Amino acid sequence: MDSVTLKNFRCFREEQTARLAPLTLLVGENSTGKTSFMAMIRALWDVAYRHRAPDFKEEPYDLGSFDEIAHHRGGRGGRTRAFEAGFEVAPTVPKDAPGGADRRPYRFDTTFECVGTAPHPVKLRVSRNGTSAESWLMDDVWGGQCQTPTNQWAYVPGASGVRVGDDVLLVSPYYLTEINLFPRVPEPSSDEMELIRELLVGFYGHTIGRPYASAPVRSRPRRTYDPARVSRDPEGDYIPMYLASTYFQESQTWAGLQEALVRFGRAAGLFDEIAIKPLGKRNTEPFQITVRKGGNRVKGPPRNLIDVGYGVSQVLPLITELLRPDAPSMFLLQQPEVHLHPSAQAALGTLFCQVASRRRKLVVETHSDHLLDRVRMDVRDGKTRLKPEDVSILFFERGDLEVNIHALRIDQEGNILDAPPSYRRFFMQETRRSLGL
Amino acid sequence: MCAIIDANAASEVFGSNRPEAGVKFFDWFYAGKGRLFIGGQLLEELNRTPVREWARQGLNSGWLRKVPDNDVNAKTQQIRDEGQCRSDDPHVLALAVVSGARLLYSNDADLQQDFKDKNLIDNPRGKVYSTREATSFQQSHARLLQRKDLCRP
Repeated sequence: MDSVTLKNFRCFREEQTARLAPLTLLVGENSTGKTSFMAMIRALWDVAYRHRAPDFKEEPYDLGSFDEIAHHRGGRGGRTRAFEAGFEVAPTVPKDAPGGADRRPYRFDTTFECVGTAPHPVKLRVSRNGTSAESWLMDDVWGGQCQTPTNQWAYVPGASGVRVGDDVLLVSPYYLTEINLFPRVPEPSSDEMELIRELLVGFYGHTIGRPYASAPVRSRPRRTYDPARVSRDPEGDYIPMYLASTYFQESQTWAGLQEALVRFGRAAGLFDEIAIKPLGKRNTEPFQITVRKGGNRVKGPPRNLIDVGYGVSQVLPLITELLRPDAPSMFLLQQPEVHLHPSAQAALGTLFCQVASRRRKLVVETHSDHLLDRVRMDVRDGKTRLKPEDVSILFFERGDLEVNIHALRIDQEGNILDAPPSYRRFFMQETRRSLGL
Repeated sequence: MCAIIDANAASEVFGSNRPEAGVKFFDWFYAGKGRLFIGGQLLEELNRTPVREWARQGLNSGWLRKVPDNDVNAKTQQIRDEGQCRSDDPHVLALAVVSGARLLYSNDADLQQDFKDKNLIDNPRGKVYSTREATSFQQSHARLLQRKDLCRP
């Protein structure tokens, strides 16, 4: 995803579009919609690529029911009856493609209405260059329409309902070229149908993986772990099992991962070694995770994860997820800096700069100046492949009943550009006060 | 609006004992109306003034802008070589040329003359904010802070 658009969603009333760069930092006071913004990114992915209604209560987010999610305009305006969201995604263009290759983005838009008590997508639209395919749901009946530069036609709604059990079926625009069940009025030409087919194949053909959403607080460390599930979860419960499984079964992958973890551990001042300590002979038996801090002359003893500072166990799930070879293509991270010393927060900024790319996007909600400073400096000093345009800072500013998103940029010198006067007002006031001015 | 503060005048804006005109200048960019540019030798000089206390907040907030030292230093050398500069502050003029900032807070008479010299700084011409004649906030000060054209387009 390269940008996200919101309207009438939570605290976002007016339509707003926010650019997502390889590294996007979300900043602003508490309760300004940063987490809601990330929840919508995952929800949009679910609607667009999973063809299903998103669960706005799935961990690590719990946005509540429709009434909590739809924007409340206040006073007589009351709660809006629908909210909208969408995103743009650039087409996959091969590296050796000619300069004239069409790089205009695909656009996906959806409208949510209340079905039962939850928000449900009732309109889905894929578009690009004046060509669009749209499906919609009204009174449990599915319909759709397509548009090309030369024609527009509708799919006459079927009389049959599309409720399957208790679920309302979501009919993706993808099926518009496949379904001949309903008549098309007027009948499009084969060339026009081909344009729609190209649009849909282009949009759905390069699906990115589901964004990984981390919780603001990760799971507590344990002295001993029992091998169990290794599927991802927001709190990183599975990380010890993933590390052990890699250690036991994929020695080469483990060596690479261990080296990368140690590199970060050293830069952050957290640890110089990390190891899996099996408590039996088989990989089905319990194990422990130990870390070791080196002194100037002698190494310290290996210490159990539970016996070192909380920051280590809190950051381990995040850095493991970021550094594992099969890392997701998009991360949604909430306050990754919690429990970390400023120097470790800065090291995390460097790690983000190293990991983020056009193929692996990071959306990071943070309150850490140290992290933000490090990103600015690493980009300025060329210590990362990221260019200034690869970093987006989204400042969430609260108004009376709504929030505005300001897009800030950094330049080659690490300067913050396009900041409104209200940006960091609190910090300015504190500095002024501390200097007695 | 883009401004530069001469190191000798920095304490009038950021110090604890400031004249009224200095306070107003501070309030001007504190309100987000102005941008302050630093770089080259002036950055080193300002680092020895109360500006230092504000540097991090300024950079993070976006009202303080860093200009590439190499560019400023190269321009400084060029101005020095051309020999048109009366003052001993070619680095301040160089910063203005490179950054596009056209408002200078300074009480140095020679530097003020240089800054207004069309041959040194042009498009737009440089303007000077000073407390040499009056430390109170004058109409002339207010007019300067109200201008919106003191940045190179």
